[in-house]
Amino acid sequence: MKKIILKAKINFKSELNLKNLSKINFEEKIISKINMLYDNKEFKLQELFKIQVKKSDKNELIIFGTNRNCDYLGWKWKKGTLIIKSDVGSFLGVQMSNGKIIVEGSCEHHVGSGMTGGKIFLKSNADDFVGSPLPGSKIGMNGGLIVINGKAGNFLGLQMRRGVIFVAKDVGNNCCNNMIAGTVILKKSFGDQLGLGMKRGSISLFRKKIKCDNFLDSGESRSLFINLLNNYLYKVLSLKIFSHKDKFIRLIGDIKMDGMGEIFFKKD
Amino acid sequence: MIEIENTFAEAFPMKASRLIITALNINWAKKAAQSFCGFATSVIACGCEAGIESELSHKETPDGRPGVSILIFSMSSNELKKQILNRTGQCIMTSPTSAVFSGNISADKIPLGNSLRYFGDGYQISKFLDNKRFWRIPVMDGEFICEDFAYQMKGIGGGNFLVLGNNIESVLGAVERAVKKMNEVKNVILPFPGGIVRSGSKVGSKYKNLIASTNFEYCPSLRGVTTKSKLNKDTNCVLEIVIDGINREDIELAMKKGISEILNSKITKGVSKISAGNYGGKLGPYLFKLRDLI
Repeated sequence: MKKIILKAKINFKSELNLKNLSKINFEEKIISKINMLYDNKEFKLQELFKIQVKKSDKNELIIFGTNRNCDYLGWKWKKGTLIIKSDVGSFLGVQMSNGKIIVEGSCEHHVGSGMTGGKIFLKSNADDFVGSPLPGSKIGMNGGLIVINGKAGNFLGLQMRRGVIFVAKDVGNNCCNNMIAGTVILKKSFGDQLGLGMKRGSISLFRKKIKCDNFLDSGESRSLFINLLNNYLYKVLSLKIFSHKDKFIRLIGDIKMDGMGEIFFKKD
Repeated sequence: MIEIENTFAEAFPMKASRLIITALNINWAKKAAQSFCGFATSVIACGCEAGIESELSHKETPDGRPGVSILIFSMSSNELKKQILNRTGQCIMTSPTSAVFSGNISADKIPLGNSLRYFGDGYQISKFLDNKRFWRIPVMDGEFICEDFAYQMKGIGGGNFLVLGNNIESVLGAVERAVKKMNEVKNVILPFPGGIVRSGSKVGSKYKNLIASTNFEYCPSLRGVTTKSKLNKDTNCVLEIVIDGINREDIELAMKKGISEILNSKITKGVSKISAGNYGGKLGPYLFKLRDLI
């Protein structure tokens, strides 16, 4: 097992494509051979980052000094933990299938687009298209977990098919549009057109009253699914988000799409 | 002084699975489990052997409600699948507030929610959490939650010992105390009513179509009728405890605890001997020598 620490040698002022960083195989010594595209020119990893390798009890890649110009971190990530100690750009954890990504700063667009497994934890905010399809694709997030401790932008969970997204602060417009399945938990406020075109899937809200014209009120619900979700999030985040005593109202929709999506919100 | 006969119990490999049943309270979880485990005493005619392994607190179950863990054993994979599916559908899904989850994991899947979901008639909802799929089937008290698959594992069936004595009161009392102690052991079940069986069987019969018949060697009423009786004139009653388990060690532990409880009990008057049922070592690969256990 190895702990690899990368420290940026320069301040990245143009786009840095870190897609190739996911080629790091913790078992083999191929780190120095990895090429990166910076400002449309090819660089060796060691030209841009100071590399340190240590023995560890788990596989970890820790990166210091990235900023919002650093895209595609954790592209198709499939094992080990990636820890980013600062902000990152777009396409974080795109199509990742396993492992864990922890970001101590904020992210730009398309966090976890097309991911099929693994976990992404953001300690701050994310911009638009969290868990949505990649541009040109129709398949959104297809498994795994995204936890955002800050705010999220528009189009969160667009065409999402599977997995769980938790947002601790506000979310922008068009959240969970055309959602096919999966689970989204929103702790604070959300923008317009929540669940528009939703076919299936679940949205859990902490707010007590909402008005959604596209959804039918199916009354009080004692779904055990909330218990399962609660236990799962407690296991992953050590956080009990709902109490077993909480009662929920369940809305079904989008009725204009004959959808069977559901929105849970707490009963007064 | 209770004699431990120099003999052995003979057990055989089985297919097994563990399910976790939860409900609003432990009372209803137990009722669902008891219903599931009803008519599941012996593979001779029930298709499977099942029993409650242990009670679980709300901290030990996937949905944070109280529950029970049950073990099911059968002779073949197909029969195990059939029994689990039918019993879950008819005994657990029908029980108020219940939910069912797999209690073990392996490569051999047994359809659970994967088949039962069709009861939802298109209104069922699938949820994928923590690499497991759950089915939410709408029912009249809300939703029945059921994991997609249960899983098959290896098991051992037929661990046993016999308690011989002078009268039913003494033998039944001793065996009841043993059962109570043996029920503390995880990974094993005692599938018969109250953990005790009085109609011990032998393989085959004089009648063609019968695969098992009474174990005449231990029937007091046949003493004198048959020359092969193993009972002396003072032995008027024999009861058996049958143990199914996930592994050899836990069956041994359960047998040891049960026998020790009888031996160490102050109320042993009327109990004369402890023996075990076997088929001469020809039926199963697992032999539990009584004297080695104590």
